[in-house]
Amino acid sequence: MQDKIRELLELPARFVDVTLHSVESTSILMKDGVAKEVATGESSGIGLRLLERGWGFAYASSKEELRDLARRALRGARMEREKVELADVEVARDRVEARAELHPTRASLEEKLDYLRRAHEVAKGYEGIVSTSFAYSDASIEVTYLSSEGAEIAMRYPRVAFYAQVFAKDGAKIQFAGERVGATSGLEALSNVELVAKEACEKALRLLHAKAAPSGEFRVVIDPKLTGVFIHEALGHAVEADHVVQGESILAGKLGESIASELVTIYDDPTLEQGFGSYFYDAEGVRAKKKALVERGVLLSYLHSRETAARLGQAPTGNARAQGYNFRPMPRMSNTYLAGGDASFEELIEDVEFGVYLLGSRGGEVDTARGVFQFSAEEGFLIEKGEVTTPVRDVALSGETLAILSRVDAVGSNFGVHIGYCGKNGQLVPVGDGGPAIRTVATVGGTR
Amino acid sequence: MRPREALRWLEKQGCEGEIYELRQRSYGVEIKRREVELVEAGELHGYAARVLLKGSMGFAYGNELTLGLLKKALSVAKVSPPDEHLAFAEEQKYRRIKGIYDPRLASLGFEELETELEAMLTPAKAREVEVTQGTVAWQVSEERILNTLGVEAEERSTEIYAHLSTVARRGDEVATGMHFDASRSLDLNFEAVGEVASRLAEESLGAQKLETADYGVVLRPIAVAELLENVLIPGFSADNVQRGRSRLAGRLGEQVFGENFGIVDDATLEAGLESSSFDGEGVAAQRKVLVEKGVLRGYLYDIYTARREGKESTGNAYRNGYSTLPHIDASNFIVQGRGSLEDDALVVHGLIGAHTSNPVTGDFSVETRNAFYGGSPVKKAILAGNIYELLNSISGFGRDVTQVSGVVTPSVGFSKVRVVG
Repeated sequence: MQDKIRELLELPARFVDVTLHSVESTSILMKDGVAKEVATGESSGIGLRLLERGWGFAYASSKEELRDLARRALRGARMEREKVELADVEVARDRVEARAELHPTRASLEEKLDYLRRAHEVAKGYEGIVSTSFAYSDASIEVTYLSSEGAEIAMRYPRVAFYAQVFAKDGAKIQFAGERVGATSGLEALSNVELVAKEACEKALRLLHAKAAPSGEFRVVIDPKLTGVFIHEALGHAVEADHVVQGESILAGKLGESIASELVTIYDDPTLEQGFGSYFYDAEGVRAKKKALVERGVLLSYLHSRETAARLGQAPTGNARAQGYNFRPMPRMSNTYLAGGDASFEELIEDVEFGVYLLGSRGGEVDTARGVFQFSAEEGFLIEKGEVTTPVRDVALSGETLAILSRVDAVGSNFGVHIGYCGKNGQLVPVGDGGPAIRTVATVGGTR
Repeated sequence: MRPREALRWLEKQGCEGEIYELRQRSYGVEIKRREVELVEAGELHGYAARVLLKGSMGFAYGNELTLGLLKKALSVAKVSPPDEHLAFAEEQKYRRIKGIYDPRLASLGFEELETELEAMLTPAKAREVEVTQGTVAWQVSEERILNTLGVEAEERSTEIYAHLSTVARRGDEVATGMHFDASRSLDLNFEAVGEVASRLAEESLGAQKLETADYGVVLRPIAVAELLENVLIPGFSADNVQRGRSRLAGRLGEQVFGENFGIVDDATLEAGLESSSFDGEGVAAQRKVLVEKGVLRGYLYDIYTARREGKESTGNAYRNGYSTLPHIDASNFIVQGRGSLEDDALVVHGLIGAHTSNPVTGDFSVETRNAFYGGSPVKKAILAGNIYELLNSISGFGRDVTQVSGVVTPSVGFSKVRVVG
């Protein structure tokens, strides 16, 4: 197969790279204790990039189909425009495989179903939980990357995830809560599904009796999950260098400047052991590495593809990622987190006269050019005179990147990285978002 | 192997079977800073098999239809519990839907798009607005479903999508604009995409803070669609209704929404973006009244949920490609209403973070994109409320009916929404 593919590198272009991608996956959805939707299969394909003046990109599930598409893409790559350049990188020849104690391809469907049964057993023990969905998914991914520069990289990694979604009911009131866990690893990462199910059930039940959140600008304390999504939306997208190059990042031209409080240090780390957003080499064959994006409030780096690094005259960071062979690579986050501090939870809340403590993430979105972002908490509590009091329901927070980062005035020590999928220009990639609990000021979008 | 051979083999194993095939050619042009940065041409092709063995369902997918794929589906069925309500579609007649295939899109080349791209980029130049990124993407899809009960359905369709993002600057101030549109034919209005994206950015300069209070709000079609897709449509899924996960459960025939509000789900809509003569299980497309003058009239079913209630499927099983099982979703979700819009309202073009809303309770708390009050741009504002309360306080509808992905809607006015400035 690889020899046939190698011919593609001979296509008449300044630069050519080829990605072979194959995925074997299993997913199981257990609805209310019954395995309802079990799906298994495999798919593979080839993605081909050709660089002349601009990019031509072609993909297909077979090499025969690809030929004709590649010709069309090549014509497109020759269209008149300012020439795209690529930053130089070390040409890698490597073969790597992620560690997995219990590889998903070696586990039976029964064993996989068992994780869901265990979770369901836990949920059954809660009165008031009226409906549950537990989902298992695994993917065994093989990627081969070849380039006309001589790169030749083979990567194998499994990824597993478990999702809980439970519904609580009391009279006419319904609430739901979700929890999830996953890793770039084998099934050993799912050993604590019982705990995940328990947390989801207890959260859904708490929400039944929570009140509507207040509206306005408040001091907020956010838990590690929410800190993760906050960093992802407030900073992460704005440092993706394609946004910077396109003139749609609030952080353009701000390298070396202070953009956040001195307590804020942020990393992007694709080498994080088992991280959901971890990889060995990015989609352009650039070795993954940990880098500080912000150190003590000072902006140090953007997230680059080879094209954006060349364009801005900066060092490549190995952050080009693609959802699969049928998607073009672009600058993306990997595992992005705010470094832990030393404040205890009590210290975070003790001098808050009135504020909101918010927990759990339902995702967010950002307008990078204006630096206006929104992110949603699953639940919260009021903080009154330094104490956690009344529970409040799911609510969104919003803010402006530069204002909210500089108002971070306390950073906790209870660090955690959580799994998620990040969407950008129609592509979803797995990421890790993390940090400790922190305190800042944000607009809380409640109804009172 | 061919689908018919596969079905014959499955019959020999003593089970019922269904084969789904998807072949899709996709093309695209990406614009960065007014220049074409990348052109894309690709093909996806794959199969999915569902088998029903002694009442248990199995599913497997792959790039090729092989014996191995069928055996995998059977092995899945063997670990799945039986359920008497699982079934495949019976043989039936399909009516061809007009306007969902345009041969011009099937043969369109990148070079022929020059006029369209120019039309999309020109308005920004005229308004001194920067283009940050844009996309034109089109695709030709061929879908087939065959099953052992005699279903043989086949359809080709086309779609083209255009999107433009812009930035306007004045001193330190930055305003953004964004617009998109999609069509089944090449008759998409590229100039309008460029014009709206550019005008929104320019008109959003000089934004002021808004006091936190309750306001009359008008959501423009994109904002209506973003909200309904995330907080209302899940409530109509019979799966959610049957499992007690919908606030619409047990309320058929009740006045759930205001009298001036109606919804029709219509998979037969001419040129509709979600129109198709059959659904993901091979059930013929239908038009269903879901809400009439505020009264709840029906839910969305696939074969399984319909059989649980002794009903017929409404043809709302959808496939996201060949690698996932069909699931219940709306087709063209059409908002109907009477009454005109009030002038004194916060007008909101789009939302940031609509996907974070609560699909069960209907609670939402979302940031606005391009919001205007009394004609002046608003800096930052969260809209907070509950969709079930909101749809009981509709003050009027615009005349600007548009299809935004699956939702067909005009602008909708609401008399009172919490706005957090």
